[in-house]
Amino acid sequence: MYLLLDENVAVLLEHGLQARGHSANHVETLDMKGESDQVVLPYAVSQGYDAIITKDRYSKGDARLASLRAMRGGLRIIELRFRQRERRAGSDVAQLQLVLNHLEEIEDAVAPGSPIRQLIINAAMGTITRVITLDEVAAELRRLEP
Amino acid sequence: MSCHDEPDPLRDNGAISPAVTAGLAGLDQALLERWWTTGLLPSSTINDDPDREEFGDPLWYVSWNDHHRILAAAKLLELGLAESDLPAALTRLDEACPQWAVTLAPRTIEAALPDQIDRTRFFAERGHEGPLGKLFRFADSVEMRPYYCEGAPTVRGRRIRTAMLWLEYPAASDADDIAGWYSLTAHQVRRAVEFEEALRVAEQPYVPAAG
Repeated sequence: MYLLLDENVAVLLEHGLQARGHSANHVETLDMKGESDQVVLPYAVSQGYDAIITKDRYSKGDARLASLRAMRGGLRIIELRFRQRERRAGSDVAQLQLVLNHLEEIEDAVAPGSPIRQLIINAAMGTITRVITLDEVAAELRRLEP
Repeated sequence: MSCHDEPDPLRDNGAISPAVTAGLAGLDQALLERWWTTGLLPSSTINDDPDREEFGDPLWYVSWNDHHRILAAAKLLELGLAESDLPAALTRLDEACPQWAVTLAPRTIEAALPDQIDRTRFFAERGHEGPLGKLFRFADSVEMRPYYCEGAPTVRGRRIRTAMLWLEYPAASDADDIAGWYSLTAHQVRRAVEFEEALRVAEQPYVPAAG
């Protein structure tokens, strides 16, 4: 897989995923620290990344629109979601382990022809909470785009 | 900056937690809830994420424009405006310029400010404090920008939420440890965590002015 690791996930993931044979680049090593979602997400699409691993929600406004357009462009978003009111361990090793535990599902999601565009991984439960498909992305874009 | 009539993308952008805005404004979150439910925060929106409860996320989000309106409203209350007069005051200011609280252009909104307010102090203090409000002392290390992390407080110059570092801090052995995870300095991590701790203390129940 060709994976982009967002600024808000641990740099360790880059080495951990490369060691398992994946091509993974962290935003930090691409010298894109501090760039906005509206820059990073189109960049990921233009460079042909299969997926971005992030902790961002892309809930509203421009960030939401940028994420939906990136998913329409073929990018998969793998979101590691942590609970707000719980001081759960989110160490670099724990983040890597969480991704490694779900590598198979991520590989399925980025496979050619897969309709999956977003996976939300519940960090506390260690399970995939939600799967968002291209149809859902398209429907939301129809509502949001002028 | 001055006001303009074109639709402003900043108006609806942003998804700031009401707890963050309340803390930075020095207001009780329940008061913001009331303002939101009574239509005083028109561009803030409900959080329609179906997993909201599972992750303990807020019921609604404050927009970038409303975040600034709340900080300005808190300043008006601090300078003596009665809470009962606030809706009319906000309406007048919104009519003068929909983005008045973000742009803070004196020429455009000075005449719309309530008479009893010390205007010089209002502009000076709001201009100085910026989006960090009561916690502007952290501006050396923390910032809020409308197109980064949906307006949430981040490490200055980085797209890393201070709340995330606070959440993960207990999993680290020290500030140097977590700094290494994200290519930050230990100072940046410590300031981010201090900011989050201060935010949780800063939220104070608003006591209405007598009369």
